[in-house]
Amino acid sequence: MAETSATARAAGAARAPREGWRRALRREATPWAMVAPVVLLVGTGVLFPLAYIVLLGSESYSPYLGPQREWVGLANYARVLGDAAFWNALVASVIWVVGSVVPQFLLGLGMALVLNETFRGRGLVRTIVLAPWAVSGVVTGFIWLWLFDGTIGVVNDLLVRMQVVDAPVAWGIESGTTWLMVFVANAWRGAPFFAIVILAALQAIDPALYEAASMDGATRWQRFRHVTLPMILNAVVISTLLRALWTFNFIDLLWTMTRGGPAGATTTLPIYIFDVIYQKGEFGYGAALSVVLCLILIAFSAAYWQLNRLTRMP
Amino acid sequence: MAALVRAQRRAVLRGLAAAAALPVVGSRPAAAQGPARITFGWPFASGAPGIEELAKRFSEERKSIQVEVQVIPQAQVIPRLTTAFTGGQAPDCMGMSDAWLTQFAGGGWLENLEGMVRSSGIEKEIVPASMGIARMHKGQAHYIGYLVEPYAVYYNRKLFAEAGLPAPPRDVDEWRAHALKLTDRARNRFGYYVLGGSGWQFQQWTTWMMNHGGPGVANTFFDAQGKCVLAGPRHVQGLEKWLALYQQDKVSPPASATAGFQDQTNAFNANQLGMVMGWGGYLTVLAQGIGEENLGTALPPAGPAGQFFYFAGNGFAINAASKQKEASWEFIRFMLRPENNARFNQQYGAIPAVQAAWTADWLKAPKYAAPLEMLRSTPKLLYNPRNLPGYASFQNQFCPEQIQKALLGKQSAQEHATAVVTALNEMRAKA
Repeated sequence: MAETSATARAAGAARAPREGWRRALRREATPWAMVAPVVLLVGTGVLFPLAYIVLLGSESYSPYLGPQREWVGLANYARVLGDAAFWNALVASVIWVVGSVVPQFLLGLGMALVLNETFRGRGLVRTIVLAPWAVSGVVTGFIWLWLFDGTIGVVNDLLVRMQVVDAPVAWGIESGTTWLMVFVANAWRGAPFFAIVILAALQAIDPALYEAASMDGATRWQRFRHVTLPMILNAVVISTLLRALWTFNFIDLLWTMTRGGPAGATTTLPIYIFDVIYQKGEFGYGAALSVVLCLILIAFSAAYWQLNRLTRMP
Repeated sequence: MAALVRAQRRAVLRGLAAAAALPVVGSRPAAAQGPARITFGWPFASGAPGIEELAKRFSEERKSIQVEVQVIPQAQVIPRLTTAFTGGQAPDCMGMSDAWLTQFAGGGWLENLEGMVRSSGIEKEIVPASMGIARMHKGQAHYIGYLVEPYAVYYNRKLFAEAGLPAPPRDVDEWRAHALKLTDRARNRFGYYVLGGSGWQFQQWTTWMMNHGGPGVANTFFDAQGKCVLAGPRHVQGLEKWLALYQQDKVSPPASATAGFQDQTNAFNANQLGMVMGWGGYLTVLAQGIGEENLGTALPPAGPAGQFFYFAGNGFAINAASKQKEASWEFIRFMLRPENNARFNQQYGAIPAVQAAWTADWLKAPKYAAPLEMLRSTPKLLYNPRNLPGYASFQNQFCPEQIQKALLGKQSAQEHATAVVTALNEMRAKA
């Protein structure tokens, strides 16, 4: 009897490895079959275009001259490094990102702190304050272009009436005033994003923490500095990174308002790439520029995360 | 229990597989023969209602061909059409500017219409200047014109009367004098719009250059050796005079240095400008803005080397990959019937490209006198190198940046002329 049981167990154990992988396969196959369509879609929609762009960057191709393509290897990428217009556009992009994201964050933080308070009509104020987020970049650009118009704009009219200036300002003819114009427009558009994210983080803070801080004699500023800021830091870091990446790639508002002018002063990297591709018709070089842009943003994101991690280490 | 779960799982998988197979097995056979459907792309800011009306009337008249109009925003026409052509999604036929013709024909995307033009005999109906434009790419017609237009002067008669000016200026010195008299900065009024942004600023400053230095061979931009003439001392002198209108005389709104064609239009329609320069569409747009009775037209000013005019034209082109070329050509022929061409241009365009329409009464209105005179002045017509590959980019992207630098004092007139000449010589060498 014991021998029969042992034999049976040994026979069972011998069968177990063979049946194990079949069972494992059946167990794994179904979920993979369920997600396969999505994996295929994402792979096709993301990986294929990426690979195509990298390949296109290795070709000399201008569709305006016909369908012929010529393999040039890394020549387009090498050309990027020696292209003065690329470096100028990169500097313009940095100015654009820093000048846009900082005021957006500060405005958004202020809006979130106000909206976090309880007051009458808060719901309506929230809707109004967050409305610009729903407006597209092109429409935003046209609105602010009209407001800043050098001849018939409302901003100039107000400034002249308030005697801040003697004559209407031609905002778009100097790089300084042009940047100011687009920063204001972009701050109006982007601040609600920070307001939404930070407001959500604020509302997740346990009120008991503020009570405890008050009981310990903390001032309003100390409560903000030692309770509020640490608790919303994660949200700030993530939203700032996202906003910086999006702003770097934005072309709609800037193109609408300045077309990269005056005299190329606000030609950011995406605008430069757009010009290279659709105005000059150099699809291959434009693709190489796009790949370099992508690498720059990946490096920036990695550096940002690392810096964030290091500054938060005890 | 496990067996039940397995059975349910198999049922689900069978169901998914069946659903995935449906589009393959459930596809219907090809639709029965119905009317031919063609798509017509309209890429201009104005005129869409007129085109839609023509499409509707054509579809009603010719039940066997149905036309669907697709409006393409003009500001995005090059990226949109480029993407459409490369992706095989471009319309069957479309409106086409002479500024883009070489760019799209060079890509092999536009049908060579020589055969259709010859067999239909339409050439004798079309203004010769328009057929010249149509054949700019390799001497073959890649579009058939529906309008021609000169780059003329448009002025506000009311502001002229207020300033005591009886007539528009005839030469560049009178131009400056008129502009100064019309300028009153305290009232936000300016004599002339020195355009530096996007939209045909090139034609303004080169008018001054050409009427000081003269054109090249056969009124082109190139001399007998094939070199661009624009950097000559007299050409640069002409450019300096034009720049001075903005920099020293300040007869233009300060914002004009980077503003676009639409800004110029808005300022003129707001009665802030005495004179502007523009294309034939202004005959309608500006008349609507300041009133027909207040709009005057004139020839561009003469200079020491003479008087020269730009002319252009829009046309209709057929997608080389279209499967409905014959149907598209029929629609184009319909739109170019004299009565249809005249009506469309009267409402939205400029001067009809169909010569039979030139006898229409509406063309006898005073505002058409100067444009018609310019189009008839063949020896004075300038031939800018629209046929060179890359010209669209040169005029739309390269030139605004350069002229803005010149207007804003970041480069001299000579440096600007040199940059332009270098670019044009390079384009010609590559062609």
